[in-house]
Amino acid sequence: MAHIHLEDGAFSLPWLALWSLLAAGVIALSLFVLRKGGMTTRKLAVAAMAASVGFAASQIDIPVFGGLHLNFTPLIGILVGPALGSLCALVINVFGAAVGHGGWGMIGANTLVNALEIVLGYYSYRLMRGRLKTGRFTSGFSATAFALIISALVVAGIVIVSGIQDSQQTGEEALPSMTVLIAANMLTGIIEGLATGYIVSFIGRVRPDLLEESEAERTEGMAMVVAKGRANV
Amino acid sequence: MVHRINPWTKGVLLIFTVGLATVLTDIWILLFLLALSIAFYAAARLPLGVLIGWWTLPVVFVVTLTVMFMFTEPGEQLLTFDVFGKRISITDNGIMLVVKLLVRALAVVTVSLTLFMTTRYTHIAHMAFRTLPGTLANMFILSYRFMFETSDEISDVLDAMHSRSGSLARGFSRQTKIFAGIFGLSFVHAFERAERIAKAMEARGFAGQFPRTERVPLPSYGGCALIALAAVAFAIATYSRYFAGGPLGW
Amino acid sequence: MASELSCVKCPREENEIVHVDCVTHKYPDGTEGIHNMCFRVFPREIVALCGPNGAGKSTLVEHINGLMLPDVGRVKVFGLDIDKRNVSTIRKMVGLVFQDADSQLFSPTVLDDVMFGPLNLGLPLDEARKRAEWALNIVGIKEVNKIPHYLSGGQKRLVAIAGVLAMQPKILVADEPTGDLDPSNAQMIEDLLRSLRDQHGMSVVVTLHDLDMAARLADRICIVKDGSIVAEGEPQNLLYDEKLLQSAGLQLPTVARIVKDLGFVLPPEKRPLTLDQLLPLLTKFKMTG
Repeated sequence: MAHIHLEDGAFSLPWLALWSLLAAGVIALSLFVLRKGGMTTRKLAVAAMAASVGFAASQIDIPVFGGLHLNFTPLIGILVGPALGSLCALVINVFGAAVGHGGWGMIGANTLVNALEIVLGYYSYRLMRGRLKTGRFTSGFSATAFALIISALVVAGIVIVSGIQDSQQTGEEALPSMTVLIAANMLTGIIEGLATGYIVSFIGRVRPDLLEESEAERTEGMAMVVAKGRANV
Repeated sequence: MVHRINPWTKGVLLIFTVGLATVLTDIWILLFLLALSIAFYAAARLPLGVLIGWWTLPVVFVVTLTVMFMFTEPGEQLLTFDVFGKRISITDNGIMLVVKLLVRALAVVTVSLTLFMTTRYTHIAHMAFRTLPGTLANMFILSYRFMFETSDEISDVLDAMHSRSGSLARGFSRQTKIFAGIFGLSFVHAFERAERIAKAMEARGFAGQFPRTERVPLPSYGGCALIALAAVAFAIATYSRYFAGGPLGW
Repeated sequence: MASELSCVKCPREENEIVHVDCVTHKYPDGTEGIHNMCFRVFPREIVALCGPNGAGKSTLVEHINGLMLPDVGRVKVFGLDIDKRNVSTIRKMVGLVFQDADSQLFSPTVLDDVMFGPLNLGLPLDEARKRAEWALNIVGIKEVNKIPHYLSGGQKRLVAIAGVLAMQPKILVADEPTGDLDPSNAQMIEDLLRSLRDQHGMSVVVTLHDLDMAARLADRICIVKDGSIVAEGEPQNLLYDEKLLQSAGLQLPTVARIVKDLGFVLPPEKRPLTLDQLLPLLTKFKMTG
């Protein structure tokens, strides 16, 4: 996932307040949607577990290209949907801030970016599986790569618009630095897309019912696997 | 002493620390803020070695992301060198930018660590329930609780992979597949655990809200005085930054 | 909604406290978890549900607590027909301890977790704390401020039981209570379950693969196969019926196997179920050659 790995003090107060307010709006909308749809104990537990896996996974260093950290936010969107996923994004960012992985003041901006990844990931995957009937690997990879490429641009946009405090560079002068940031995030996005494609294929073989949220219809194969799981009680 | 400070007081102090780190621009005042935060940490008799360890992450983040600014920030050139025929320079403003960002980050991380290392989890849970919507607070409680299990499980699977020489697997595609399998398994197990947890919660009468097992009283007069002091400092800093003149953003 | 099917094979008995009356439960994909299940629980008894994986034991016990509702038939607990409106009342009377202890300990500390149930019942904080401390005392756990994750397997199981005991149910249902425990922890759980019946007057329902434990613990055994109870009776009868056990995918418990291998033919009331009961028989056998 893209993450603005900036600590507190990087953005000035008005921008911090703006991104935080926007993020609060997204969270409020998610809570409203969940309340309307009915928040069950299962949904709560699922969202909490997805957040804990997302956070734990982000602490793992994957030995590819010198070391990568992935958060699987588009995957979380595919598994739990955009409303619950946005809450997961907030939880992951708060835990991150608590251990110095991003600033407390950056939670707003980071939650916005991650919520965007979750929403784009979810709807792209749904579109590809539902309308275009592509396979799980292709859908997972494409949806994730698309979501993360867009979010890489958004991250750069947020940083350019907000500016880094005490920097005297104009937006144009900062563009080379931002270009490097965008490129790095896009490359990570492609890699995370591949990883997500493999993961979604794996989940689809083992527990296809977990992909119900984002897949248009349940297949017969899915029902049979669920039956096999239920029979073992 | 810090352990006995009211959790609400510590929480509010963290918020004001974030605010001050955001608003202050003078390096000496920022260094003073950092010194205060370290003193706060030390007053809690917490190990300094642990603090240095926790500082690694924010230092890495700040340096790796703003290192380019050291070269592109306008100012007096301190060091110049050739890279592939191109002349690049480290400027004084570039270094000052990175230093200020570091100082801000470390001040906040120090206070944040002090808060979490000196406050009981049940108090943090109570504060979460008082300040956040119920659904969010429930999510934080459950996520935190099961982070240990999830981290251990991922560690165990990674160990299993290493024990079968999985780390020797060469190639981008192979490595990605291996780790995708590990994370995929973790997600599946997490969902299955979620289903069991949901049943167990319902079996014990859960009705949508985690019951609070401890109450946290409001801050004492001393705590209120500390909060007031921090608020005044923040107000002064904000006023002098934004109303007495000063740029916003770039 | 469950139909009010009158079930001839499952008549009501006097002083029963749980009556699973010809219950069938189908999962969303159409598979039947239990079929025409007839099961009872009486006061102050330990009843063991024994059967292979997939027999329907866990599905059955989840009906007793109201976690699942029947598609056909009904479940009565203390005369109350379980339905959506009264599950919270049922859960005050029937406590369920799941197989996976880890997934039941979802609060940050042991004490918090055990207080969870009483607080959900609406008890004030002080009263809930007292109940939790009482329950933890019964199971012998002293590490009340520990994070549950860092407890041993046996301790987690005990805390999970305490979490249910704190709600002071009249019936405790335990799904594979000693599944993955070492012998010493398993013995602890076994002794605890016995004391719940003897000293606290509770009824206990346990699902078990381990017929040795069933032999030592249970007052009554139900053999579950393919979603139904195929046999029910006293341990001395059922646990010596090799043909029945094999047909249900089970094996004779150790003591019964020794008795059979030594060629003893004993009336039901003289059949040993535990090693302590077997020893005099072996001694006599040794003396008489």
